[in-house]
Amino acid sequence: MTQIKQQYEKKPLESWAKMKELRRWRFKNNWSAQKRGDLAIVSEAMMLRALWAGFGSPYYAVMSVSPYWTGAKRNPDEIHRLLAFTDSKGYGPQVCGALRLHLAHLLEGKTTVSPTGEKVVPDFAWQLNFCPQVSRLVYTAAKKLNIPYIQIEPLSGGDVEKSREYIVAQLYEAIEQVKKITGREYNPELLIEATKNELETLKLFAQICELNKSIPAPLCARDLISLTLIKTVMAHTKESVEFYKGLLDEVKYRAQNQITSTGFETKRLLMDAFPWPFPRALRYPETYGAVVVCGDHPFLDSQLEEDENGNWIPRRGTDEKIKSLKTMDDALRALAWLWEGGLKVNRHSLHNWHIEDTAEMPIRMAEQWHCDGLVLAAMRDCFQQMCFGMETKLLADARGIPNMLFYSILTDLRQFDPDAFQKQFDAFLSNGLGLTKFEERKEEGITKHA
Amino acid sequence: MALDKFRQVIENRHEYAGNWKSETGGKVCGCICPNVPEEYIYAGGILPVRILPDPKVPQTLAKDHIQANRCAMCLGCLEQGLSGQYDYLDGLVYVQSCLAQSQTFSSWVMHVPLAWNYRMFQPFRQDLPDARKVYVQLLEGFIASFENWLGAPISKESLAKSVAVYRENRQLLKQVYELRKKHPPLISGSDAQMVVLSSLLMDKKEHNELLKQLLQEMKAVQPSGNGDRPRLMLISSGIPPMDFTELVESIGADIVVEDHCIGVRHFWGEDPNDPPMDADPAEAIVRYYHEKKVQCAYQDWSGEKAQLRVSQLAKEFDAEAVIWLAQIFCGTHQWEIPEEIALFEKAGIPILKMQRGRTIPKSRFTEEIEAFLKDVKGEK
Repeated sequence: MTQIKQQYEKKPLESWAKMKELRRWRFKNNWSAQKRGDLAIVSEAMMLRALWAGFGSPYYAVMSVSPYWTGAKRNPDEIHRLLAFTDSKGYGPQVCGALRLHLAHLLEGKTTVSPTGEKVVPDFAWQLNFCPQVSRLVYTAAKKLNIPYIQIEPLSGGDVEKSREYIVAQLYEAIEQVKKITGREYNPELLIEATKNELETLKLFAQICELNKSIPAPLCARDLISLTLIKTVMAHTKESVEFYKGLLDEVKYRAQNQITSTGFETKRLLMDAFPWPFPRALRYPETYGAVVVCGDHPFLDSQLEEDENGNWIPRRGTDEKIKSLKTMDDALRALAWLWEGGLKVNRHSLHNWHIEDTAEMPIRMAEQWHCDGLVLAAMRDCFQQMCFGMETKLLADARGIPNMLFYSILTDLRQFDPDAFQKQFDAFLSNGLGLTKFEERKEEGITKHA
Repeated sequence: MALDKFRQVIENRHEYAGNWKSETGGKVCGCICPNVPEEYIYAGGILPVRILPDPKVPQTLAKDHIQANRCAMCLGCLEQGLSGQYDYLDGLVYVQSCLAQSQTFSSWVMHVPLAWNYRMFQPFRQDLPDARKVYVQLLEGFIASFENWLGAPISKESLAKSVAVYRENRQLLKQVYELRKKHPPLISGSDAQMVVLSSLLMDKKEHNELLKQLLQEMKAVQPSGNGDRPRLMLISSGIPPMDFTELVESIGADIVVEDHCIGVRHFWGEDPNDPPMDADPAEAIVRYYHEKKVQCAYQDWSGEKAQLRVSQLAKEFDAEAVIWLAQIFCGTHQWEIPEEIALFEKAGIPILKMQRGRTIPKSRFTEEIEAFLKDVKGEK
């Protein structure tokens, strides 16, 4: 056993408090927006957020089918209860684990009820069909809540230009549908302003991700995953832009001054997904001094792209788009452009399912974020995310890149053994990467300090 | 007898394709899922064959490429490819259906040498004019790539002939299904499935001739039994093993219609009111594949069309009970099952849900089906 030796300055993020404040505000806003006269919309993994700002305000409510999902997934007893409940309704283990928790809350009538008992009936449900099971959930919610449902269907690949045109046509159609549903007018100026914010937010987040190439990494993957939420729910607001500007400044400073979240960095890892009930898994390598610095989930929805030389960089053209954005059509096209951008880095999106082209992506990403190994997930309870791990592992094996492939879950604990996973992780970190667990942290496990 | 020939082709499908290749000197192209506009391939003088698993073969090679908890269909298809069973293929096409089959295509083209392969995406919305426009554009991409491989453009005449052959095939298959509406049905469910399955593997022109022969032969067939066997509809994810239908029918029921990938989902949707021959045969292809063809659960994500279809089929074929045979590890159809169970229960139609893997557990299934049929017949 080795002793922890601090290599670098260790400091928590100062932006953390602001992030928590925004997250709290966002949750409360969901229960108050409609009373203020703003829209309340049901949707999952909100995308193209600026679209609905045109109906009066960017501060509309974005309600999940399960407002209490985050809390539930941290509570094994609650997970088991909810899964048993959906089983009893016929939605068994072949339905996405995460969505079964949402569905259980929907069937229990919790979707529209705040923690203090106020009830909000959403104006409509909408979903960008990045996953058919998610779309089916939101559609089911719309039927149950007796509200209209709107869907945008992107193409799952192929010609980018055709896909963009198709999305734009559907966005126009969706606006007309909501005009009829709500009787509201649509203000293109508000759309344009919100779209500029969304472009700016996502550009800033990509720059933050890029800074994690620095040695040592200014952020760990666990930080990044928490930091993605603000953009997921409110990327189109000025508060989001301000937050990520502040965060970018802070991360730049950390990178320049070798300030880290952990204080050490013996090895760097890519981890493309993690078992959601155990976010501690992302930090477990730290008990050996290693740090997860990049991956699909940590970089979720970020606007990174590979240039002609194979370098990962923040997507080019964002500033030009912001400057030239003048009309409603410009804005809708910019939103479709952002959707395409999110695909460039996230293999786990439904719309990147041509594995023959994307299997190598994590390997190239790992090289550029200076990683020493790959931790690849094979999903048990998400049919979308089970596509990629095996072929990437075969490629990594062929090239002699240290890697491990573990069976992961979104939430279905009945399909996951944390002890077995931890043993596999230990074997990889010690035998695969030649690391030794810190004496002071030898008792720590995947489930501890989650 | 035509049925014997269909059976022979199914039992020797690789040999059939290999013989076709050596006899004609032509190429063979594998098609994954039923959305490939095979008419273009056929018009190019190439034999399209549907990629199918062999349920009898364990999936050992495929599991290095696709997780073991993917469906037996995608693992089984890939196993066939990796093990060289399809070594006569010159090309492979996949038109977007479900993610599992997409994985089959990916790993196949990554690891098995082919002269040509193509992945075509498609919009699923059938209500939006822009979706049609996009479908046409994506189809043009497929055609351009195919013609490039072929080394020559597909002539309008050869496409028109091909479209006519395929349309006739679908219409003849529908005529075979009409025989199942009789009480008792004039053709068993297992024979009907064999007829449909063989259409995925054969030269369609030859298949049409055999279908005509079959329909002729069926005119002389006298109904067996007195029509007191329960009439069942089978709904299933993917392609259920042929021996499932044989098992159900051996226990004492008739499967009169099935909604799965070698049932109506394969060939339903051809509208008899469509013009017999379009001035532009490409238009007929767009109309069928984008607008009319039955969508699978991945494409019909809301399940509305499926619910309407299975309800109509049950009425049309006078099914008095339903078996929903789920394939384990199929994420695509799982939301449908509880909703369709509720639908039939509400309509007072008994429904049995069963779950299968690569193969079917015959003794357990026999007990379950026997008990179900007793319920259907109101026996104690």
